[in-house]
Amino acid sequence: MINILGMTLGISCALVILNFVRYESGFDHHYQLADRTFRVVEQMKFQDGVKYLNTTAYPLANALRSEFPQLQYVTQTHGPVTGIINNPDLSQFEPFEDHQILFVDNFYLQIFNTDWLHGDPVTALNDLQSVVLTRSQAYKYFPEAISNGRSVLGRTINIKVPGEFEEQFKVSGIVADPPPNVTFRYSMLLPYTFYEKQDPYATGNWSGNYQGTTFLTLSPQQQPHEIEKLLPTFKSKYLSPEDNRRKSYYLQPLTDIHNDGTYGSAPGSYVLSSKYLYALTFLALLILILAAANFVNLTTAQAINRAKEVGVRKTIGSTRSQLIKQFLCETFVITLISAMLALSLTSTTLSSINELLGLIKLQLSIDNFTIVVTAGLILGVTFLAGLYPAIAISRWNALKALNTNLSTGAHNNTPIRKSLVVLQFAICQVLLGATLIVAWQLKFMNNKDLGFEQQEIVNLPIPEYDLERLEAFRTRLQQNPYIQQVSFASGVPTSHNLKLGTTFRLKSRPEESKLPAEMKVTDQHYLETYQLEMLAGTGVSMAKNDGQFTGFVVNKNLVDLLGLSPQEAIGQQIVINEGEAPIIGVVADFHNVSLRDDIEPCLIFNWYPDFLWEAGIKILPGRSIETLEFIEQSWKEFFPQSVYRFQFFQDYLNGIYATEKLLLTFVNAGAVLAIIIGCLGLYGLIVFSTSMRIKEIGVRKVLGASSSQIINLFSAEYIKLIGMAFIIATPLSWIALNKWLDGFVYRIDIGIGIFLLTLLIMLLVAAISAGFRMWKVIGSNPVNALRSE
Amino acid sequence: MIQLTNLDKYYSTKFTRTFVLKGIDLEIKSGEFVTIMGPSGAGKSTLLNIIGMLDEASAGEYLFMDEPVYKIKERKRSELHKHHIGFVFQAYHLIDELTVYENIETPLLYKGIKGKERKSMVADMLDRFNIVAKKDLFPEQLSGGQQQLVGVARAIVGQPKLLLADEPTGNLHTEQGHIIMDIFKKLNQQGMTIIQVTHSEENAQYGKRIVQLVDGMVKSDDLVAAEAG
Repeated sequence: MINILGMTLGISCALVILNFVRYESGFDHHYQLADRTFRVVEQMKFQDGVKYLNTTAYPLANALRSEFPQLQYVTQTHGPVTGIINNPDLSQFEPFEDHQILFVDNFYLQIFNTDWLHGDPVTALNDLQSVVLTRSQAYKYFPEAISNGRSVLGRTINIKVPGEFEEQFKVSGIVADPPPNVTFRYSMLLPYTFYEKQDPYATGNWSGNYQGTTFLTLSPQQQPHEIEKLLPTFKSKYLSPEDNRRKSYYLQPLTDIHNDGTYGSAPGSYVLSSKYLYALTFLALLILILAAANFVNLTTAQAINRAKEVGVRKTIGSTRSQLIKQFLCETFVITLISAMLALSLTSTTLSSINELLGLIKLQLSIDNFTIVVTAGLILGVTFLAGLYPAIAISRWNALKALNTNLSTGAHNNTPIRKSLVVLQFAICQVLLGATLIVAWQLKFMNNKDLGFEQQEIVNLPIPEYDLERLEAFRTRLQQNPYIQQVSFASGVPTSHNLKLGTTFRLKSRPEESKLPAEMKVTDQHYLETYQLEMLAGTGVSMAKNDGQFTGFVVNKNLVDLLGLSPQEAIGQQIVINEGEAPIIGVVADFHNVSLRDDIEPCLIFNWYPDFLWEAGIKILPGRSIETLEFIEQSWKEFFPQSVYRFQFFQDYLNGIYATEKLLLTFVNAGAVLAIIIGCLGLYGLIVFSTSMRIKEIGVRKVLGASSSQIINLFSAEYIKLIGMAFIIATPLSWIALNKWLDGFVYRIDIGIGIFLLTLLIMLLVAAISAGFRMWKVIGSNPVNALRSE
Repeated sequence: MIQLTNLDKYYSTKFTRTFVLKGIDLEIKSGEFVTIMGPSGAGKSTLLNIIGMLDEASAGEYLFMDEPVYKIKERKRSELHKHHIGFVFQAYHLIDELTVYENIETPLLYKGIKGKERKSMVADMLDRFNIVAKKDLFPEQLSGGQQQLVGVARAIVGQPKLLLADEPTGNLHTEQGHIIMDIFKKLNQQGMTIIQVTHSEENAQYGKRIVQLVDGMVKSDDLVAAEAG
């Protein structure tokens, strides 16, 4: 029973992790041209380093197409963007919000093969005002068409992308939903030509501020470096001399995009570094080894009960290989049962993981691959875990085996079994240590003083960019006594608000001295709302009506890079790509990107209202519930055509660490599993060794040993094993965890304390699982133990 | 020293009660050397185990040194084992992981005797049984007779008042059996109370009194003729 349980847990865990890893490492792999398709990425040189961008200027695709006719396809995309969808056909007005509106050209559909359900793939996007829906979206907007998808063709939907356009589009095609693990998981496709017409300035601009994603597909037999080699000459033709000096283009394989963090995550997607995937695979392997070690231990332990059987079989003429075969068969059956149980457990776990990690929209399920892997696992584990016990048991001399009850003792505690136990304990300790540290680091990041207020702030989207209207909305909100501050800005303090790749320099210094900066476009209430600390000067001042800057508030980091003190910096003229203005204020450093990264130079200023995308509302502590209702009402009054949505700033911050949370979930589950399997193993071991030593316990009791003396005797042995595991496990986890923590700028330091804690937990677990069993043996009548026959 | 009154031992199954011992009345005084005999299954070992408090009676009264045994708690029982009772088993029951020396030392450890004294007591035993040369060997390296010598040495090293022996020579050659029985006789002469279970008439002659058990009941209880042994 314990055998099956331990094995089931081990196999389930391996299957779950394997499924996840396969899902995450299979992004975009299924496209037919995936191995020849590349994303064009950009590197920008600065004085103090290189910035990696995964988006490029919009005209790039056209230029590549005309300069490199040897390329099979080049496609330019824009988005995905968020829009509000109305179905004008519906009598009842109910807008939907859609985050996955992607603008593509016809080449996109050639590169990324798609299943067409209705409509003509060649002409679908030819008309500017046409839209291709995925099946699920089509049925969402036209629920009555479920029985007849074709009837959706030619119908119209109204799409509004706040600040950009609001137009009617005619449905020209319906495609199958893209598989979940693709970089661009669109819900509808709009013609790129529409975007070109809509925003000719952006789509015709080579400067760094207007960027979409460019993919290209090589012709067969073409090598990526052949093209890369030609790119420098190519870019010098199109880029300004300064941009040409700083920017260079490279090709990133499509299949690397999701697992390579260098260029960051694509718009609307996320990156899961292969580093994590390796770690998870390792975890799965560890747990599998643990389960197998556990199995070997338990089997050899229980073998003593079968000694008689082996003896009898041998005396009636069974050969050793027959016995080995018999034991292997038994292992096979146990593994088979475990695997069947594991499959059903896995499927349950996967669906709950899908829910748990709703953030990254997983869709894991058991497929043929899983079944094949399970079959492989069954065979592998059977041999891994079955062979040693089979050989060990079958080796026994028939006569000795028959007399085991008399000749019990030392031989059966072989070094192999002991080292397996140590291995189990060591794995348990490594996993336990990892769990504690990952959890501790996450807690540390959550509690760290970020340099700004994070409690009781609610963020709302702003769908209309009209200053007067925003002011009216603010006035309305501030009628509520619980609302302390209202600010409109491009985003919260901890994010790249405007990833425009802007640079800054003092006007008095040469062009070459410019450095990258991060921009936050805000109103004059931003600093108070998030309570950023002023070091010198004043707060944000509003831009002129024509969008001219009136002054920059900068962070200490930026001033430091200029070599100035906050006081000296006030009044200095700063030039950025978008214009120039004096520094009017300096704020203390705060985490303006993410805790995982260093603080970057940051510019806070007011600009066109088009950049005020988000409201931050600071509520009196403890009053958020009743105030939220008021906020929603007011918002709906002001923006009735849009979809209301809010998020607590704190929740957003938690979301930033999704990959760490993910890791924590897996490590947690892994540690719990490891501990359970370890406990099972320990329990089995104790059952075994006590049954081996029942006689000894009896003798000792007869000689006058008290129960506690006997417990001490046995504990000493387990403490020794756990101690050995501790010595093995600690340096390993120390190295691995320090390496992981090095990825964080703000990290905890690991002391010996945490490892001592794991040791303590292990001892406790051992004491509990062992104590119960030992008590039963010790409490029993010694005469039972001493009965020889 | 030992007073058994109307003592029963039975195992209950759903419908029947199987008696192993039935209505045993037995008194054993300090300094006696009693042999319990009888055919297989007569309940000899069970009786011995009950006397040694390794097992409990189902009914009846058992006074050990004028104290009712059924009231004795686990802790007290372990005290009695330590200070008053020594056991010798047919299968020796030495601890396989310990050397001869350590095996003999174990009861002294449990008695809490200090290092120096313990050493001399163990040395004394090794000397007395002529097994000094074997003190660092493990039980499986010894012959059966030698193992039983160690078993006896271990049983008496703590100077118990009562020695219980369950077929002590059952696994031994006649020659080895004689050696053990001679030791028993000497111990008895020095004042130790001994109760042994045996099949062997010859061994019984070493004692002073023979109790015959048949089907769980005392069939006869006679003194051994003085000239024998």
